Amino acid sequence: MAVNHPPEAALIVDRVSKTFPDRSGSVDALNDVNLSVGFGEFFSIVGPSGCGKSTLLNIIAGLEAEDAGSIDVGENGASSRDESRLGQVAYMPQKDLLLPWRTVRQNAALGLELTGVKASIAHERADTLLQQFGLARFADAYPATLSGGMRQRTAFLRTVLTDRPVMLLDEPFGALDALTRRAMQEWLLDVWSEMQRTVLLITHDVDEAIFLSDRVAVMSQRPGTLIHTHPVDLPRPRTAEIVTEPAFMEIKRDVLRDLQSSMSLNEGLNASQ
Amino acid sequence: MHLSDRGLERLASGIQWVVPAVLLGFGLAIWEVLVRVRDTPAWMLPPPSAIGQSLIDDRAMLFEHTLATAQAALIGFGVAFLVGVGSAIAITSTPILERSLYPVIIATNAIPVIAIAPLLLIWFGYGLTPKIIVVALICFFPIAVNTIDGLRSVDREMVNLLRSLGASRWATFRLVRFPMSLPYVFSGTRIAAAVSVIGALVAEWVGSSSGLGYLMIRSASQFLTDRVFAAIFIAALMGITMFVAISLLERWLLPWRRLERERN
Repeated sequence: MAVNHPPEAALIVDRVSKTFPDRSGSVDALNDVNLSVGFGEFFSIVGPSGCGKSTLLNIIAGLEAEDAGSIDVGENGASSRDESRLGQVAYMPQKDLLLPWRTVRQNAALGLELTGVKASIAHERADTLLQQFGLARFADAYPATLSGGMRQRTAFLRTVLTDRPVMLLDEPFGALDALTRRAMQEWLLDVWSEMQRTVLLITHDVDEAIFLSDRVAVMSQRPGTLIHTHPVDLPRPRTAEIVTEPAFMEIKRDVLRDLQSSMSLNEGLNASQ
Repeated sequence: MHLSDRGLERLASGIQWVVPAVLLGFGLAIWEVLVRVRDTPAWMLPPPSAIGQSLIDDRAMLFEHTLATAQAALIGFGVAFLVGVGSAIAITSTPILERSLYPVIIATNAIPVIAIAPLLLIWFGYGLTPKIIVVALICFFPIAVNTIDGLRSVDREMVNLLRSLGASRWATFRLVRFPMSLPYVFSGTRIAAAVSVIGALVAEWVGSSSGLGYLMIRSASQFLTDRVFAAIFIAALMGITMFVAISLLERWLLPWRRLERERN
């Protein structure tokens, strides 16, 4: 699939492949992945478990090295090799990974402190954000006293506060129950529309992807590659009811069809072995 | 509901102290009665009242020797803490040291300290130095091993998160690895605090001219059994005090630990 990079792309992944060594030889995790996310765009990748979604995010974050291809992050436009991308994007893993000895305020400020901002100033900025998004009364609470949803909100604000132009979200609500999850998605949209940050989200929840995104790409089973990208032309701001509208259902049907075709293709392969 | 819960909790923590106190008092009473009824000679087993009397009568002497023991225990413990935590950090941050020093640390635990105490006497004389070395040798192992475990316990994903934020190795150590290891450091330190008194007593038995251990040996040879018990009582109290002090310090420094325990 040819990719036309829009001129104002915040993140460009160009023909990236990745192979992991394995006891029985090697496993192809990613094969020729192309994508480009515009400034301020919300872009999601859906795919079955183990399709290499997380590997792609790890590579973009600089935690792992790509075997082939290149990645451009941010305004500088220069493509960089793995290690030098560390600290270029804001990365939010599935686990909240809050530090138990830090309060909500201190956890939210962690990324800022790491970029060299003085702790007192970082805490002040965290307070402003906590206030803005309804967490002010939890500012002095320790993570052990918070619900899963509150912990995830804190982790998300930590990601927002790192002040990187691109945010990578790796199934941020995967561990939450369905109701909390729905509330978190609406909250996330609120925050995002205020921030106008570029987001790359990976998930296996099709509803979540469509509800949040400007575009949704479908990733095949391993070796992961992007099969098709669906534009989501639903008006914003979106509310929870949108998932029942015909336009939403239509996109969902298309995405599910792509997902199913990628899965059955693989099952066919397994059966013939 | 909430208030009565808290009331129950307070009651529970009250019982927590009352039960051992009652048991102890009951045991002492039986001891007193049995010794008196059977007319056991005081040099063999003095009644608790005689031990109490000795604590009062010999208080000046006991105080002086308590100070000597406390000094050795505290200094030795302090040395072990600094060396233990320091070597744990060095070992976990450099693979070469990990391979070369870790076996040495294990070996220190295998050294029978009682056996080398006489050697220390030959080398350093009857002073404070051999006592400090014995205490430090005993305290070093639990502190070092627990700190190493703590520094190794860090979540891989957590380290990756810090790396993705562009954190340096030092920042990762300061912000995650070290604080993460503190509960382990404290559990090692608590054990060390309790055994530090035992270390000091052992060193004083083997050869010393002061301290509770010395007083026990001397009093036993004079069949002043009540004084031996008084010294044992004080030594036990010292160990417990250090243990409790470290626990309180942990509660104060790591308030989040209690929240985590309550949650689980």
